[in-house]
Amino acid sequence: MSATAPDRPTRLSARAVLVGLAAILGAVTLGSLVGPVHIPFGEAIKRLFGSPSSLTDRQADILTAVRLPRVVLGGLVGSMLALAGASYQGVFRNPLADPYLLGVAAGAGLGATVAISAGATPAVLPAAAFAGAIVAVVATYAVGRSVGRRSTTSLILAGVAMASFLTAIQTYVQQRHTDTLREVYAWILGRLSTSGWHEVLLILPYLVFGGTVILLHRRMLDVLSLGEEEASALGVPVRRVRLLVVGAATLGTAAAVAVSGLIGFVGIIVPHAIRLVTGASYRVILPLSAMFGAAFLIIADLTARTVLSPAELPIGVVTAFLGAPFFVLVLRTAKGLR
Amino acid sequence: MSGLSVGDLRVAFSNTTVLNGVNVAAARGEWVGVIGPNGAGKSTLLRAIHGTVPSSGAVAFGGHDMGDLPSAARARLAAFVPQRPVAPYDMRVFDYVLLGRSPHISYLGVEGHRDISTARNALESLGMLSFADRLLGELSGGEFQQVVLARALAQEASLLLLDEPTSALDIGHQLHVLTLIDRLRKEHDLTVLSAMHDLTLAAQFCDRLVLLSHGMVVTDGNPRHVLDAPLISQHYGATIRILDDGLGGVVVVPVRQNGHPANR
Repeated sequence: MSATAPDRPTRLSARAVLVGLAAILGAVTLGSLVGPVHIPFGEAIKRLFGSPSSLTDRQADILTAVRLPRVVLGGLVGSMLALAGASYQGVFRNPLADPYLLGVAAGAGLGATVAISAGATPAVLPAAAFAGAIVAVVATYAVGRSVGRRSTTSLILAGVAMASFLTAIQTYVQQRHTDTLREVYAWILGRLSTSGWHEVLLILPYLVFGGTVILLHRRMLDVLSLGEEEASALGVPVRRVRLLVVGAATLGTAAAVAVSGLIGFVGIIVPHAIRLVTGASYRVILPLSAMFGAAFLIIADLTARTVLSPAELPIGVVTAFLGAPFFVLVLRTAKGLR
Repeated sequence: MSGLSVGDLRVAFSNTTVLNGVNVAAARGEWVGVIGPNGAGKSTLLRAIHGTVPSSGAVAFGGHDMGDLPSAARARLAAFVPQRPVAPYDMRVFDYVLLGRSPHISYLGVEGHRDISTARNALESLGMLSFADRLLGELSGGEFQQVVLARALAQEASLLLLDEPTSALDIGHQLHVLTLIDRLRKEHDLTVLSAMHDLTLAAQFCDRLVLLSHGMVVTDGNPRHVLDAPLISQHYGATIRILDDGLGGVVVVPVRQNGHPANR
């Protein structure tokens, strides 16, 4: 997908961008039209562009106040998780790194559990999860730095310790409040919460900021793939790059988690699938991860709400159930694609 | 432009002294080999000169005090190649060589035409241009080493710091790569400081050798002078012989003391 002259740098090709945009467009179309209430494609388009259409008020309401915000939210969350996953894998040079590596998930889980157990209104939930995630990662950084400054290994291990510690507290709180067990469990498995456009507007600034900072560092992530010593020897301020990229990815992930719960797997499989097809350059991996992460999560959410309709599957179950076989397929065919 | 001068360089890692007042000089265009047993401080010396290891002392190259320079400016003066460079297996050769341009590109900038043509010329001058579109994981050890040199060349630094540049190669490729380095330094007027394990190759390629032991310079001079059998035997803890190679150079041979198969 990266058609580049042999003695030119790898660049994001127009074709790859078009394929990505087509994937998003297809996912958005399916996500907006498919559901218990059928909405015809042509009429939906007319309506969205302000022309008179035969949609009933109810259909129009479902389209603009229920489905579209949920599709957009899914796209934003999927995009951010994939982008953050790619960044973490780049900064830590660890293929298993995902956006939850430094304790974001455990921190958000604890924040959400405490809020739910304390009987807080649903409106407070995102703020509590967001705060928990940020506190957890800041604590991980502090612990990691106190152990050793020279390697990322100490940071990863600090993340493991912090995640276990916070999960222990979270499980304890959860067990002490059995009446809210089901609600906590549902949150942990992930669900795109929707009350119109509210969540979208809530997380948008964090995602735009996080995504922009990450994309601006695409060349730096390529340099970092040579490891800390060689990147430093090339004059790159490794610690600053790591702090900025991890900070941006964490902020975006925390915002995404706050409105979606813990959706696993997207941050791992999307960047890896892209990398398998396009190669190692982050100037290609990052933008394509953002695009295909969006399309993937929109489709996963569509599956989650239609398979057992009117009941809803947790989206985390769908991402893993769809994602794992898809990933194996990419692994098996990647050599032929390049 | 003046060469490299290192004065009273000291490095300590948590109370262990690794370099204890090292003085080294290399004239512009000179190839100086750093030899010494494992743990003598060869790699640390290269890293301290490049500033990736904290040190005290004075390092100057080309009239610049390297310690005062920001890291990118330092990287424009000196290129460092570690013993085992990281090779992301799915990275294209051209992208890899282009990373050598990093010190010339601003923090959030991207490569311009000049960077691309410099990387292209670097690959061409190592005869590796036809490998530009290959992946690093597809290269042999010798090919990768040449690509690494192309990256260092693309950096356009006048000082090359090479840590055991041929340790992973067979004899044929060792000679090939060292010959390339020799050609490059003459073509581009590069000063080369390389840590060397193979004393024979060090003697054949370096203008001058510095023998390092326990973080201190034992002796320094032309290869024939430094490669003195009793001296080398003493510092390497092994019996060695220095033989004439018949072409004006010397060959260093380790000798087994007892139990030699021929005597059984």
